[in-house]
Amino acid sequence: MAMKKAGFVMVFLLVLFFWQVVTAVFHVPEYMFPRPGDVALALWQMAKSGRLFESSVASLFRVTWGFYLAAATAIPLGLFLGRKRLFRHMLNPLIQFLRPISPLAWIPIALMWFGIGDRPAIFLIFLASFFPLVVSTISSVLNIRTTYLRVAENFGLKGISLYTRVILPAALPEIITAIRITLGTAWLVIVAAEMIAVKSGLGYLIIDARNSLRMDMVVAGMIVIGVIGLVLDFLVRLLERLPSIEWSRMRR
Amino acid sequence: MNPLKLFKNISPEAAAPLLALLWLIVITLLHYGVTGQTHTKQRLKVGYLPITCHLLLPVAMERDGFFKENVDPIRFSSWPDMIESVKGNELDCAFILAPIAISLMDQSVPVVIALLGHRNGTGLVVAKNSGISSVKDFVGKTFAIPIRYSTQNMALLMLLGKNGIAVDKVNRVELPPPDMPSALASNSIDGYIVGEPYATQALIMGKGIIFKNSSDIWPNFISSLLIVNKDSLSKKRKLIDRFIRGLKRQGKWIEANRKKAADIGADFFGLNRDLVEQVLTARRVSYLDIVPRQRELDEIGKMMVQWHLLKKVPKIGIYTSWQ
Repeated sequence: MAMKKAGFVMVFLLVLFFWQVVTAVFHVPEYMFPRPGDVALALWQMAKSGRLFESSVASLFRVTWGFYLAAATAIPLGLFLGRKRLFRHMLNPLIQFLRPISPLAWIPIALMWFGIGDRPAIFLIFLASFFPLVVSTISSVLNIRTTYLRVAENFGLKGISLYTRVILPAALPEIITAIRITLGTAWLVIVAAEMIAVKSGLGYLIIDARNSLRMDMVVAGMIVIGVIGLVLDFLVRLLERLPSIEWSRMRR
Repeated sequence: MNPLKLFKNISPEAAAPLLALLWLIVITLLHYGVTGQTHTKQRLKVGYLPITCHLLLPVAMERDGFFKENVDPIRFSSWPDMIESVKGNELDCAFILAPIAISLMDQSVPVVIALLGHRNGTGLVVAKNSGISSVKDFVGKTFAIPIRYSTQNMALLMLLGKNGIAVDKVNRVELPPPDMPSALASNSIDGYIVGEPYATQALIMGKGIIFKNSSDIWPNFISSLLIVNKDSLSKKRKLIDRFIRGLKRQGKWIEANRKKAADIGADFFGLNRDLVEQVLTARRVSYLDIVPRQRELDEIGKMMVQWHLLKKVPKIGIYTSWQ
């Protein structure tokens, strides 16, 4: 563990060092790529003025709502479709058709339907998360061992209790993995969506800094986005280590 | 540290959904606590972009108490976003490029033109190292324009036409104005035509020269104008009339106090003060003759048809009875 940490710190310092050296040696002008010192200063200024906190909260708020709404609808729908062959065959073509359309392609429509503010961004995050979650949930249900289902049948489980006692617990490990990947995508999309559809948040911070010709603030914004992305991933990884999730990995 | 093991009496399995719910509540409260401004219906929502053509708005916001109390300026970073917000009836008023306004009218979006942003204030920039010394040298070169529905694009076409150069001999690309100076610096384009301060920015960076001012190509050049939503006009006419009169008044003040106006604008837009000062004190822009005239706008409409930006000239609605 200590080795890992030391290695990480070394790589981090090396990157900083090369960044500083390259920008200084080749006289890279400020408007092309800022120096580490300028970026640190910009970070400090934005943190002090509260702008960084405000933007991060706005972005996280939109991702949370968009993602929760998607999870709350996509996972039940996926569990249902995973069990009902007929409905699956009816809806699957539509889902497969909508899934590859980038959420960003919906921006013009989102803007016209929801105007400016939080709602178009939440809608875009919802779209970005909904389809991957439905598809993964369906496949996780299809991957459940038939033995489990047969045993459930022998015990006379039916209806809702079949879903809550057997299907959901059996599918949960795969669903959690899908949640982790989808949350990563949602975080990618929020930044792009905020560059266009709203007037606050980290994506907007970057686009606004660009308009003011402040490259140091652009890079500072990128760093904050990266750090929050790391934290989000770390938190969802904790879910994978829960005993009721981890059993599936031990099985292999 | 594992947040799922924070509570002794609750199993991690039960803690996960609880924490997820807690997070939802916390982030929502924070968001509305930090960024939640309550928008009352009566305030005017006005769209703008950080360019000197829209300077009337920040100056009025700074100097006029009426604006502080009744106007919510909404900043956009590109024209297409603003167009969608106008179509979605999100804005009461917006500073928008003249040809966009005309094409919105062509699409029956209920807006009227009430004021001009300013006159002139656009520059045609060429790269220092592009070897361009006359318009004839434009052949085979790449020029950036803000969007095809812009008087900037039309001024470039006009200049080419006057010099007998076929339009397709010059490569035109659409770029967001803030990207233009750096695109020029990296030699991806040979020149561009844009509203200030992004033309002067190339001068300051030492990468380009201003080849022509808009006034050299097109006398009394119009870039943006103020459009008003017809629904808002019928509901909040008094407020809107006062708003427009206030803007017009600031035009006179800017003419007399260019340096102060530049500083107000630079701070509001988040631009460099020296840059905006240079734009305003070089007197490339004028904020005086800004009441729209039907004949001029019809003229722009006709040119748009000529350059295939429109099929026919729509009825261009003007609202000047606020005076």
